[in-house]
Order: sequence, then structure tokens, then C-alpha cells
Amino acid sequence: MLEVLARYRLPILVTAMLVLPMLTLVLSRGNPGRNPVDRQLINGLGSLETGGAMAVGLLEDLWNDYIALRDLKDENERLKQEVALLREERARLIGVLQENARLRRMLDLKTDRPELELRGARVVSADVSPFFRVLRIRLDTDHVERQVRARMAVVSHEGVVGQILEVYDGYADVLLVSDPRSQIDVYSQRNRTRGMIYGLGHKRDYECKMGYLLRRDEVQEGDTLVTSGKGGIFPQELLVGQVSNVTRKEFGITQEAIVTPAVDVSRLEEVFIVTGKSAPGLRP
Amino acid sequence: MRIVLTILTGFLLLVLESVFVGTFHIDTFLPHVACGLMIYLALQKELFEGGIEATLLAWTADLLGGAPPGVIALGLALIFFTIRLTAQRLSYRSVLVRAALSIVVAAALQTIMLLILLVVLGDLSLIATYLLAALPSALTAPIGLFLTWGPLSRIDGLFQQRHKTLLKE
Repeated sequence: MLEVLARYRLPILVTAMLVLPMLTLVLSRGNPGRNPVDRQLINGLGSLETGGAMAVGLLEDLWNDYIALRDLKDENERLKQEVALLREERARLIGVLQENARLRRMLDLKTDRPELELRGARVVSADVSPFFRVLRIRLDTDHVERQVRARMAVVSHEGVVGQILEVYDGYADVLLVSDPRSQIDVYSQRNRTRGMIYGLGHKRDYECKMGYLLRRDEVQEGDTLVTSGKGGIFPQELLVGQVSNVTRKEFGITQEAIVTPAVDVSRLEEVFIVTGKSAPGLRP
Repeated sequence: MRIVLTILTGFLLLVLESVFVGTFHIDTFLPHVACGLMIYLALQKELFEGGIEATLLAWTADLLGGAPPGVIALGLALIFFTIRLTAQRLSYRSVLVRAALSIVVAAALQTIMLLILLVVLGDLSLIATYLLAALPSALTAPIGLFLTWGPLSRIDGLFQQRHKTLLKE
């Protein structure tokens, strides 16, 4: 047996390298989730990414607080130390104030929408493919982890962030509104015109497209779009974005609009997962 | 031991790329570490050893990529074998040629991914993403090659040196 394996090791390797991913791809067409082995691996990778993010954060702090101030030190040691200390203190205070403001705004969401059961999570990393828009978040406690499932809505105080793509041990992938795989049913807040928002997958921006709009539907730049609640994932009246451009062709029965999402994902640090709704029968 | 060290280094570089992209929001110009790894393994390693390392690292890249399972792994495997086959006819010794190769490889990977995604998702708007973001992002692939080539060749050098010393003794 081992002799056969040794003799045919190259054909076996070539087959494994090409056929295995092809097979995975074909099998995942109906079921986009990862298999248990992948899930365990992603869990391990998640821990590494968290560690990496912390290390990078420390290096960034080190650079901001000490190395970048080295020139001033040459001019005046005493003043430099004083300035460094004050800046460090100030940076820390600004950080605390910003975090405080962020958390306060997050808290406002909880106050504004008391019917939503919200669980907090921290953003850990982003995908590295230009075609997709996925964020990885860390679920801090077992309690939160047990409640989080795929296809749950993810929001911030600014509006809709996306939906849970998959949950691993302690981590979850969030499919952003701007990912081409994402589709959200929305209403225009101005006149209740209904449409579907789907991501464009642009890496330069987070723009989306509003489709399924009839030519007679009245949509204009600046229209605010909110979730319709249909589709069962996103609760009603969550802010999704604003129409930034409307395209009407000379022919055809439909029109399209470009939408700028309400949430600036590049600055996102904390998010909420909507794990349920208090009113019975309305669980997302 | 050399294989384990090579895989761990590649693994670490891929995770670091993911963390840096997330922390500094480097969206358009990615270093394409996975492409750099495939180039090094295809050009510098014996086929079987390089193949095993490439398989594991391609799957790691796939897990970090956010793509449907298997897309990135398949693209990287195709790239590994293509470089391996062309290396028999073309010389990749010069640094500039290797840098150009990394750009071609990254562009090829994005093209393979686009084709697979067009078949799987059938969304033609991905072509715009491909032309505006995915293809231009290949221009920064030499950074990934530089980041991977140095550490991996040092690991190989370390073991070759040791091997020579053992032979002398």
C-alpha cells in the first residue's frame, strides 16, 4: 500500500490540489457554509488574527507615542518628555472619549429600538479578496456565541452593517451590505418606494445598487432607504443608506439607483448582532 | 522540520496580511502574499514538497479570503502548476522578472477567481469590480513576493547549510 502511495505520490498530489477545491466549490453551491474541519481551522485562525491585531495595535501605539516624537527629544529632552507624557495622556483620553461617544451612540440604538435583542461584538479583521466584502467579528462570551446564528442581522448605531455569514467558535463572519452576495429588501423613507439593495463589491468604496425598481417608481438623489422587514433577516425601519445617483435608460421598464451605505465600515470597531425581537412572531 | 517551518512562516504571513488589511483598511492595493508564496514554492522547491506546502497554504488563504469555499484554493493550485510548467522553459532568476511574474500571477489569480465566480454567482457586475479593483491590485504583488521570498529562502538556506555541515563531518 505504502509502495503504491510512494510510486503515485505526484499524481495523487496533483489530483488532491486541483480536484479537492473543485469538489468543495461544487458541493458548496447549494450550501455556502464551511465544513466542520474548516470551521475548526477558522477558529484557530481567528485567535491568531486577534493576537496579530493586538500586536499591531501595540506597535501602532509604540510608534505614535514614542518613535514619532524622537526629533523633539533632540531639541529639548525635558520638554520632549513632558510633551510625550502629555500627548500620551491626551491620546489616551481622546481614545477614551471617542470610545465613550461610540458606545453612547450604540446605547442610543438600544434605547431607540428597545424591541430588538442586541448583542455586542468587536471587529477583528477584514477579508483580503478584492471581490468580497466580509468582516470577521469576535463574539466575546459563550453566552453571546450560543445565541448567534447565520443570517442574523448585524447593525451599528449608524444603520445596517450586514448579516452573519457563518459562526465559528468565538468568531463570526459578517457579509457586508456592499458584498455582491448580499440582498436587502428596502423602502424609501420619503414615499415608500420598494426595491432591493445588493452590493457591488467595489474595493474603492462600499457602494451598492438598488434594483427591481419600476420605471414609474419615484426615486431621487438623497432619498433615505430603510429596511422593509421582508425577507425575515432585517427588522423593519433600520437605516441602510442614501440614494446617490439614479440611472434611467431611454428604454426598458426598470431603473437603477446607486446607494451609499449609511455605515462607514472602514471606521467600524464595534457592532451589534440582532439576536431576536421581543414581540412574539416577529423574530428576525 | 523544513516543511513545518516553511508552512508556519507562510501561515503567519497570510494571517499578518489579513490583520494589516483589516487594521489599516488597505483595500485596493493588496500585497498578495498568497501569490508570493506560490511563486516561491513553485520555483524553489521540489515538486512534491512544494506541492504539499502549497496545498496547505492555499487552503489557509482560502479560509482567510472570504470567498466561497474552494475558489481561492483552486486558483492558487492552478497558479502553482502553471508556474512550475513554465519554469522549465522560462528563466525566472532575475529579481525584476520575478517581480513582473508576481504581477502576472496576481492578475491571473483575480481572472481565475472572476471566471469561477461568474460561473457560480452569475453576477456580471463583478466584471466592473475586476477591472476597477481586482486587476489594479495586482500591481502591488511584488511587495508580497518580497515579503515571502526573503524569509522562505532564509529557512531553506539554514537547512542547506546544516546539511552541508553534516556532510563535512
